[in-house]
Amino acid sequence: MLYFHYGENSDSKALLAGVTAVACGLMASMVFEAGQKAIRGVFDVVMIIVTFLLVRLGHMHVQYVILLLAPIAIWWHRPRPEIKGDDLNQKGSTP
Amino acid sequence: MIQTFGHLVALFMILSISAFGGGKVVLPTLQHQAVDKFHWMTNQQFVDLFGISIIDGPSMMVVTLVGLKACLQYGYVIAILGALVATIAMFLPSSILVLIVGRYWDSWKTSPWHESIQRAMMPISTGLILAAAFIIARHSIHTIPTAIMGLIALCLMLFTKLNPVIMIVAAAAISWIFLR
Repeated sequence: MLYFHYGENSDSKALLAGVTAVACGLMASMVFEAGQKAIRGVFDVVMIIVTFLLVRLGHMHVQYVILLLAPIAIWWHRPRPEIKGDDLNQKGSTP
Repeated sequence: MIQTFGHLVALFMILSISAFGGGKVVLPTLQHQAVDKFHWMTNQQFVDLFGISIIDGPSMMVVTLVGLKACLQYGYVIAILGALVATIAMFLPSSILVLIVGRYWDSWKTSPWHESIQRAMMPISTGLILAAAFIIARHSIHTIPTAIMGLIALCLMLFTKLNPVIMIVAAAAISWIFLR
């Protein structure tokens, strides 16, 4: 309520300039932390960039971005059968 | 007025169930809808409200402030009601979803698909948080001093365990002294 009354005041503008700058730093740190956990390959980097572009440049809604990209990402990260060492040796020995 | 309440409920209920990876992922859509579509506020006001919301409590309290601002034109009582409606619309559907999905999600822990879905959603969430950070940066970093403050906050968050509230209070004091 105070903001809506005094938001245009030069004092509150100066105060909020610092607060929003720190908010920006906090958000950037979240991007770094989330990125560290999320990025395990080129595909993950591509997904981050595509998501960013769809939201920022395409102005696509979050729910549509998720509906569009989640199936692709899940398919990419789908469980794959592990190739056992014995199988590899057999494949390697066959002419 | 009823139309504004309808817009608030519809918007926040959809955002609520879309908030995979935390509430911040919905900030870009929230900003786009509140500023560009419904014209409830300006970009600067949106970023200011986000800044105010992180001072005390979870940053997703910005939802409450957006609800408040959207209905402020109808008077303070309706504005408070708008804030309440927005908060409930944002937090109730996701809470119910978490309750329902959470029961099955844990029992599904041994499935390889559990890990796959988590791994798949992480880059998408990161991209959405990046878009949110971009919006905040675009409307908060106007001058070299604000850029330096943002950079210092980033470094402190990454390399120390300093409480963000201390950073916010210090930055507010510094900017009040030097940027008036």
